[in-house]
Amino acid sequence: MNLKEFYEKTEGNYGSVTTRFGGEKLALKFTLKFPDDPSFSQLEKALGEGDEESAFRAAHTLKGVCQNLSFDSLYVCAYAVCEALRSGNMDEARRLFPRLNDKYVATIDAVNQLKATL
Amino acid sequence: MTGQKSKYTLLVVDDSEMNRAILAEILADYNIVEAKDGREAIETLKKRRDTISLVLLDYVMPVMNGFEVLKKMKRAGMTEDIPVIMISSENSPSYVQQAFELGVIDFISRPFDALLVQHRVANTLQLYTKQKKLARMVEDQIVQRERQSSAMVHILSNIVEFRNGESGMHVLNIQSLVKILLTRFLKKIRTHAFRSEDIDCICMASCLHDIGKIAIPSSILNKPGKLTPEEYEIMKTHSAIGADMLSRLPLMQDNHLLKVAADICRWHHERFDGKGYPDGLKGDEIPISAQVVSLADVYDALTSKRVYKDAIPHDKAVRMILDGECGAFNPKLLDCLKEVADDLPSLLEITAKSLVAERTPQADARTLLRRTGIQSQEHALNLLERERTRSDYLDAMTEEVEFEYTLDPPTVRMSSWAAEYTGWGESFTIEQDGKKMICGMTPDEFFKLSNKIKNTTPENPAIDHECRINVNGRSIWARIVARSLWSDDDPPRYKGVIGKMMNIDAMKSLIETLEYRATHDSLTGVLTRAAAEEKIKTRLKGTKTKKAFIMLDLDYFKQINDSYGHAFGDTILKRIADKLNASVHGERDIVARVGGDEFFIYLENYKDNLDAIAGRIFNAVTDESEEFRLSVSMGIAEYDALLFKDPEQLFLAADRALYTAKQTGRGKYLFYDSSMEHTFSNISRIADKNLGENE
Repeated sequence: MNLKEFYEKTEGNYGSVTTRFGGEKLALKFTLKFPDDPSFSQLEKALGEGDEESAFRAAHTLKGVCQNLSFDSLYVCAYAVCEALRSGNMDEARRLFPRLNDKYVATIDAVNQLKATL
Repeated sequence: MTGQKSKYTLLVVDDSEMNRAILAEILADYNIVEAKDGREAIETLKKRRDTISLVLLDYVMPVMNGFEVLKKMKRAGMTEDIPVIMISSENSPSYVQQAFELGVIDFISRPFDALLVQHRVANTLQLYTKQKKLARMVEDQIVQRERQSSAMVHILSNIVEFRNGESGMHVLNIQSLVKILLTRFLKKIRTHAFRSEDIDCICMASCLHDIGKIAIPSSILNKPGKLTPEEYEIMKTHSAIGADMLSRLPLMQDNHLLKVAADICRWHHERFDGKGYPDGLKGDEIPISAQVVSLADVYDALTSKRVYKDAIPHDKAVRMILDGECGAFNPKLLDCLKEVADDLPSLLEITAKSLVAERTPQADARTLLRRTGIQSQEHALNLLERERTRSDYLDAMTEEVEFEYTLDPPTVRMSSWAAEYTGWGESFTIEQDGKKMICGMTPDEFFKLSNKIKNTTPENPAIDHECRINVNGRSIWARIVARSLWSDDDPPRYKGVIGKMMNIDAMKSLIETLEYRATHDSLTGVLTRAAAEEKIKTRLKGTKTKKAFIMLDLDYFKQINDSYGHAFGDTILKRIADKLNASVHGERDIVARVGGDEFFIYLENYKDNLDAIAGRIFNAVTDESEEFRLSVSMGIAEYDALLFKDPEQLFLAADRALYTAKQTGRGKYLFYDSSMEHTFSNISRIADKNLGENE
């Protein structure tokens, strides 16, 4: 799998990320680092503990990282959770979380496949 | 990594390590310092304030969010010199607006473009570097301006003193007294409207209180006896004239110091009871500055020795003022005087000493900047901000042309007002072909200016140049203050110039006029005695060239005045001056009015025989074809190494010859010879006579 195929598979925007980063090099580097980003697990933990503020920050950060890497479909899911938390709606956030979770797991899988083919 | 960029250290503040890493990667040409939340950012900034050139700031962060960081930075004055670029996915207008209000210089929204981030960072750094340079330049200019106005104040007050025949002590005494009284007054009234720098300003401005006397004929100004009612009326005009002169000074329109000085000039002869002049202001209608100077002036006049009176002892002077014998003053000010009265003589001495120490203009400007209570750099930045937002209208008011010159391409740029004012266009290239005028300057003049710029270094980049410049077909005196710009390379490369051109035409001609008035007799237009002696002093030293003095005195002048009136007397004096001017060599010889009806001529390096010259002068003045024939006496002394030890004795010798001519029948001229050695000198006779009249 190459980077372009990765973006196709995860429904990201390959054209946008390579344009913004001026080529594949940086996009690849940070895509591979994506699993190290702790914001998803922080969000999961905070939701479990009912820590609204930490949950919002984690969701916001995750959203920002997705935005930077043009992980568009993951971004959309993170966005929904983030906005729910911003308005203090914990229940709504919990309702929306599984969708984000599925998408996140799929993205990590794809990153691992990408890593394996390099 | 290029050598130039790595000089800058950027602080990246973001709670996501991923985001920091992306930014660090994009900005790999710079030194990157990272902070994972707001508190860490503030700590880093406090520790490394001097090394961090720019902050990239995220908004949503734990512990302290982006806005809180900004608020803290702003409070600590950091946003003044460290630019902050905000990076965020939040981009609602109210949010962006708040970010700008808090002082961010730029805003980048996610997802960001690597190239965009690189450009914005580079541009911001460049802008701030330039702004800092400009700030320093503005700061220099403030210092310069303060220096200039305080120098101006001293020049002007010296002119008045010189003409009044006063010593510098008078002005210094007034200044010291003003300072003592105002400081006391301030303690008493406890108002916040008045600050210590106001005292300094009034103190400095008080030097100029009598500047209007420059326009008063010296015959009235220096009259040893009591003034006639008419003369007194003329004398009284000096307060309004002084204020008028100062308010008409160019380049000084918004100068606080000169405004205060104008108030003092106009109203230092007002009285608290409303019976003063020129406006009959009453009580607190009179600015406190003028009230204090008025009191100080009276005290100084009482305690100083004048030709017509002895000095009155300090305690008696205070008593006379408090008893209301010398005018009506603000009771609060009189209280102040009463309170300091016992210590006044010693206070005056101490204060005068500290004022003299402060007179070095550099100290004035520096302390002024320091006393504003804010860092001068910051102060300068605020001014810069004002400067930047200033409209063309204000540009036009001050007649200052701001310009920028870049080397590559060699282009000069200026504001639209400046373009119209100079007629050179908003942007133009400089072509030197050795013949054409460049920027209103002849190629020679332009060469001088460009040479000055060429001689600047990154350490000494500033130039200050005065020259004549042609703007829109009009030739003006211009002052150009500018500095060269250098790249950050090693070695630095010369990049261009930023600066200002000011029209100093009016200022130049004003100073010339003032100097002319101060050195020339207002009635006849010839030099005053003091000015002439100053001019002759150095020329008198040499013994090689021929030199001679002629003293001339109009006979029976008192009778002319008594029978035909003073106005006629004045025309006669003017006629004599004109005749004298016409019969000597204009550039080489010097004609001066000693005072009253007495003139002298200094001749040097003359070709003709002195007897012939003297005869010619004598005949010109006593011209028989004139309707009113004059009778004059002249004494002449020619330098002769056998007769005189040194040329300085010539003046006295000519005077003795004149005295002898007067004693032996008048209406003739005599050459000095050794037989006159023991006659009374005319000079000493004048001195004696003056003393006699005043007693």
